[in-house]
Amino acid sequence: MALTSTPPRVGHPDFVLDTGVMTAVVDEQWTSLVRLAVLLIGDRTAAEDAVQDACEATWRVRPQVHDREHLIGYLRRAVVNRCHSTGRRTGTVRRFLASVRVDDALTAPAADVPVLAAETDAAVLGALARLSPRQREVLVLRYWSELSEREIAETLGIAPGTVKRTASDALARLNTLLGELR
Amino acid sequence: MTTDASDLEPRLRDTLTRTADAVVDRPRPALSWEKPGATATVTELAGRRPRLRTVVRIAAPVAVAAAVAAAVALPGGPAVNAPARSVPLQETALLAPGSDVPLQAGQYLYTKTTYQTTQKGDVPITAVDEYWVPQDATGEWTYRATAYDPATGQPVPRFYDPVTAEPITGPHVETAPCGHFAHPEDTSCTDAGSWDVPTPRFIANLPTDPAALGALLVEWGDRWTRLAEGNGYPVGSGSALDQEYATLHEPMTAASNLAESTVGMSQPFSHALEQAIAELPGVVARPATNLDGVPGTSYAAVASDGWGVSDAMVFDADGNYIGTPTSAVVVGAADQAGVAPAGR
Repeated sequence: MALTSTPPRVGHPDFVLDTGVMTAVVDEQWTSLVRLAVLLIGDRTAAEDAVQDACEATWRVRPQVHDREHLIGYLRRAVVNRCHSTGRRTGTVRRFLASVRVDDALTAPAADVPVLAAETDAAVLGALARLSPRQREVLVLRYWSELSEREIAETLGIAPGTVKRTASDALARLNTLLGELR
Repeated sequence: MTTDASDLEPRLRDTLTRTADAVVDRPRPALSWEKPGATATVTELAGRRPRLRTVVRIAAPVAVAAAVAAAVALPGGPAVNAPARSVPLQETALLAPGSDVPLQAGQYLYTKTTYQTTQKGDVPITAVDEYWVPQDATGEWTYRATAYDPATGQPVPRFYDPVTAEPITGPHVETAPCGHFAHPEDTSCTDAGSWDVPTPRFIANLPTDPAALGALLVEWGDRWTRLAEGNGYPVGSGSALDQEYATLHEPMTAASNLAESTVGMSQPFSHALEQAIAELPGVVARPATNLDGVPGTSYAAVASDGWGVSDAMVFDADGNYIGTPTSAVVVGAADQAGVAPAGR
């Protein structure tokens, strides 16, 4: 199991997961977590629902987190897991694909986004939606969350080697799909 | 567009960044530990560690659609006043069952919803949600969630740790006053409610005239579709058939939410709802049975291409909502919270 190679965490000895800490961390991370969920399942309101569920679940489980960063990582992992099951259960990802239109609220370019960039975004998002959930998760965590392979492995509960392989496969598939969408 | 692999990574990074940045910051909802008294009042009957309840209800696609809709904070619906917790609410009388379930002093309204769904890895399970509601609905409610294998009848885990994915065994039991469990989709029984989360107060403000109720369902469906599709709807929003699907589906989603929320409530409203549903556009009625084999009439919206665009809702001969072909609802009088009435 690859996670055994992860060095043991050294947390703050006085760290307590209480309501104040949860509120502060959720306040700070809410938008970031919603954005992560949007990138994974494509729908703003479904993403907010997933983040809300993940926060509630985390509070109710009260995990043995060592410090603030550990809690943030736990929340991120809970959100990814929730998005993963949401996509599988509801076909959200299929709707994501269907929603990728330039007139959609999610992909509508801001006024300062050049037309070429907007076209690129629509194509890339459309291709992303056709990847497997795990491939999409790896790419989003790597290229948007900018996590290391070890951090991605921790978040997804897979081996770092699997992260590397999945990312490579996903990029190759993405490239192929973009070619098909030309 | 080029497919040069050398610039794929920066293109991907840029797209993800732009897409994420387009998700503007907006206020988040209050979470359970931030609601007054919520954390203290949600307890485990058997003293077990609190466990996650996943959002799985009857007709998952409908529930998901409702959850999506709930986050939009739709305006409209019937005019409702702000909740006044300190004042006894006539609306909560709706929670007292109709003549079909007489309650004696001290008894609880018991509702049990059994439905087919899937768990991890799309494994089919039969889930059971039970509620015990005191006659004073502002009192303490009890909720129990269990699941079993539909093939063997053996108990199976209902919930899983959100991170470790370890199964959580045994029945899941919670208590909370006014039905205000610590789940995102649950609201207090005295809250104003909405089409997505119809509380007794919300339902009490709905008309019991089927035509008026049906018109509200259609109006809500249209408003939700416009919110979901954007201001320009229906321009550029897919084919005419897509629009027809939305027109037929959304009112039925609202009706389904109401039906599930009126389980065990006043029979006259349930009957009015059945009549309203029967008159919704595209709705087809046919004989059907619920998951328990109880006969009734099912109502489902069917588009002009013959495609069913809503779940079927089944009502019995008395106009009581009894579930769907894949779910069953029963009500009864329970002497004790957490203990099902005999034969239920």
